[in-house]
Amino acid sequence: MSEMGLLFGRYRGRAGYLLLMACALYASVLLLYEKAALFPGLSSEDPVSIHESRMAPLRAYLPDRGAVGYVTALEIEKIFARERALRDVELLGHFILTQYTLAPVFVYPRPDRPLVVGNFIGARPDQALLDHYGLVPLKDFGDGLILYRRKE
Amino acid sequence: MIALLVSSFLLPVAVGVLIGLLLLPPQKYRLSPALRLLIGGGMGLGITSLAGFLLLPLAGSRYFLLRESALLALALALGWLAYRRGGFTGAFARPESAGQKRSGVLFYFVPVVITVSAAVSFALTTLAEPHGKWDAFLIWNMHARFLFRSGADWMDYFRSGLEWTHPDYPLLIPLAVERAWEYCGGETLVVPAVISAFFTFSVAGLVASALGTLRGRDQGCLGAAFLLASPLFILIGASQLADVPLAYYILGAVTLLFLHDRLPEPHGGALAMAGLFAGLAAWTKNEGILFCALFLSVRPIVSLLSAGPGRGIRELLLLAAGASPALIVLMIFKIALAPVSDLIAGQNPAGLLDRLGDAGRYGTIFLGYLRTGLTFTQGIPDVRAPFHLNPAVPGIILLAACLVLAGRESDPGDRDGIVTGWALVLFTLAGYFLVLVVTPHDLNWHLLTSLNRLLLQLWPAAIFLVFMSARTPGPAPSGAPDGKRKKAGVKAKRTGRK
Repeated sequence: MSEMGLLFGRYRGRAGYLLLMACALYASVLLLYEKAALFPGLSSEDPVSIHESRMAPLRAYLPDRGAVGYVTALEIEKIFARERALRDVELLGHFILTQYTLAPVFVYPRPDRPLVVGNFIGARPDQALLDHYGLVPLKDFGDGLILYRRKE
Repeated sequence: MIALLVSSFLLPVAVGVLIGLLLLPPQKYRLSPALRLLIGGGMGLGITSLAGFLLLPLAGSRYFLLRESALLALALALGWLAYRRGGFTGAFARPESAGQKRSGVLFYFVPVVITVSAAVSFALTTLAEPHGKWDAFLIWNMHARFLFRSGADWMDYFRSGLEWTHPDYPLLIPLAVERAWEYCGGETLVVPAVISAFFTFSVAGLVASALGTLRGRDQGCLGAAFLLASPLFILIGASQLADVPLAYYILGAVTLLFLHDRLPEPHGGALAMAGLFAGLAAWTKNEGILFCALFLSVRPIVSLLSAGPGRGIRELLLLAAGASPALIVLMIFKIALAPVSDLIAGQNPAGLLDRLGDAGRYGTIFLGYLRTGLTFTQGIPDVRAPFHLNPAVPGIILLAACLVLAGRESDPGDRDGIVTGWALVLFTLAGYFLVLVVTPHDLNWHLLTSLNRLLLQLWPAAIFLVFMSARTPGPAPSGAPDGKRKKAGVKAKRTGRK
């Protein structure tokens, strides 16, 4: 065996671990750098907290328990389909966060309950859809958040 | 509030550590206090969750008081038993220093830097997204909110028909969060974040201390550093999902097999505890049910093949006895409360047969395994633009390269543990493969949104197993160019050319 081969045989274990440590250090510091660069700062609020604050006034108008419906710019089947197609998760995210915020009240994805939460961020309510379900505004909280009552 | 939160961990950790002293008596198991704490902490949290579930029917009245009284009584009884059996004698003694040679300051300094860096990255991720990522507020924290806010009406959620929030998922994490909120006197974002940090750094600590005990401190430091430098591990850990807690219980179960196998005489404590860890894995996530079933089958079969049917049956009984508390609770939950899983509810015989006979699905999943397997540790991908391979980020390629360069070296007593560990990893991956073949969801969507996390669940155990078989960092002894070490009790197997 050549001298190089012997040298390699003798130190290859240590070389393996040095390679491992160098790469681990690189990946760890890179992640830290990326996280620090993207960090929005302690004072800024995350999107979920902003959504929760937006929904907060709604609570006073809802029962402690029970169920409400949900309506937004698009029908819920299309919203789920968009997410499954990996196209758009924003509207589904709004729906999920509405349930997350309003628990233990159950938020069902269709506007077929006596009380219906309308969530129209950056979109106008579809009057035809509202008429179809017989939804009458009960309280407009602004910023696209409207509580509807369903006509019997 | 911080004091209340810390106090919420005291009883679970005490219960876990005391069970550890009883099942792994210091007279037989020379373990460091750190290892006892790391095994006991997560185990105690899981046991607390089991007790919490059994007492949930009392929610809304004296639930908190009764549950905590029961846990206190359990801790006192365990403490008394441990004292009677001499469990405290030698529990805090330093373990034997075999294999504790330190290869140099670099092997110590770099892991410390990586640990600090990982901790800061974890903190920044948590501060940027204090509610966690998608599945955290869709599933785990949502379930905790329903349990905490519903009081006596907690059962209504499971009958609500909100299947898209996955009410069939096991409750270890939601109950742990709910309990800590009760201690804090209300909901706070700190609780799920701290529980996530607890599990994330417990996994790393368990890798470090278990490898440190079994293979020496160098291996322990390197294994933990390698795990903490895997970006996905930190990012998913900080995202408040249940994948890292599941990884903790999988790793714990595998680790305990090695602790058992190193004993000169059989002692069933570690096996019973390994069974408990496997059961808690099942109580953490549905994927853990597959792991638990495999764990209770694979290990006895390996023992049966290596030491005969007597040992195989004995180990099966011990593992099953350990897993039974969690499995009984899981069974009650699944039968009495949980709706049918979306993976089962969406099935029909014709569709199932179609999917099973579709060769294209197997190819798609195989390619997904290959592509994700090579890149999953790099971070959370954009599902529309997955990662390009970066071999410098700790992942399978780097781990394999390190093993090839370092060479293999294993203790003969570890053979069954290594065989069992790798069989579990492979069979679990095969099980996930089959689930993906028959999934009623869109296959591409299912692969892109879950496969990296499925692989992450097994990643700490895989790192542990590799370092259990890799030669320690020190240079080969002079005059032995083939690298074979003539150390008593250690069988050196070098790979590669001589």
